[in-house]
Amino acid sequence: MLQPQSPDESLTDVVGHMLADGAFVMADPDPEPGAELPDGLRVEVSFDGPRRGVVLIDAPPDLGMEIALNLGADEEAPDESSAVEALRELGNMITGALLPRLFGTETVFHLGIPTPGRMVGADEAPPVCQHEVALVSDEGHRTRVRVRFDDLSGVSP
Amino acid sequence: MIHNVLVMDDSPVIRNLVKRSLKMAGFTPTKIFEASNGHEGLGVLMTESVDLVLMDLNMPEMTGYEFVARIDPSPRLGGIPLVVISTERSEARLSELLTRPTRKYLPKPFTPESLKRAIAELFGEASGKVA
Repeated sequence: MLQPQSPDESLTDVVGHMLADGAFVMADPDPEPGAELPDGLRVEVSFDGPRRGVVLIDAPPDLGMEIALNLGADEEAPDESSAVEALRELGNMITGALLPRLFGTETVFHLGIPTPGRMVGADEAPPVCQHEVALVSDEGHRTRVRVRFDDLSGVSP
Repeated sequence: MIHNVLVMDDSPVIRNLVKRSLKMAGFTPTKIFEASNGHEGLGVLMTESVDLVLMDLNMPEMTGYEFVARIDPSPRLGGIPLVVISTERSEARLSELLTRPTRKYLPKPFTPESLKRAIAELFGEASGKVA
């Protein structure tokens, strides 16, 4: 009999699946999950429904460019704007797949438009999140995906 | 025959992916229009003859839900075959959109094969009129 997955296991599954099938990037759990990421891109996707929060994706521009190329970006050498677009889409896919996995397909969530930005500097405190997965791609690009619930109470995943 | 297609997504990367997937699936429309939100998509439908709409839901300015709400009352626009290509998994929300037999849902990530199947189901595979 299958055991129900924990939220962290679901997050790991969804991110791995979306990277592989949605972005054609193979990735494994980061052997150094606490390793500091160099300054990179951050995409935030907010969600609102039975729970309210945000999914944050931190990744180097090179991972975004790799995904953009895999998705058929026109340019032979995609620029950072293509990398940002690719990571925005990855954020959209991860968030869209994760929430029904955690709360069921009958629940209704409204997703925000993925918002791009830069990761915080090393001297700033990282965002406090309840769930996190750290992966490293075959090309050696580290990525972190975090889920933060902003409401104090609500349906448990 | 599918002559004109409207591809609607706020991401240019995904619009390119959809166009490329159409080609890989064997479709060779005469013209592919692009729109980055529902508002722009409505503008295309008002001025052009479109045989198929391939659209995302989560877009700025006018979402796919709002776009469908705007075209639904129109016999001409509401009847245009439409494939929703989205990360949306909520059955309740999808059922609001898929109220006509001329509409299909294709979850992201998708493949050229799954896109071909969705379009074929809309236009009738047996009719041989899809490509």
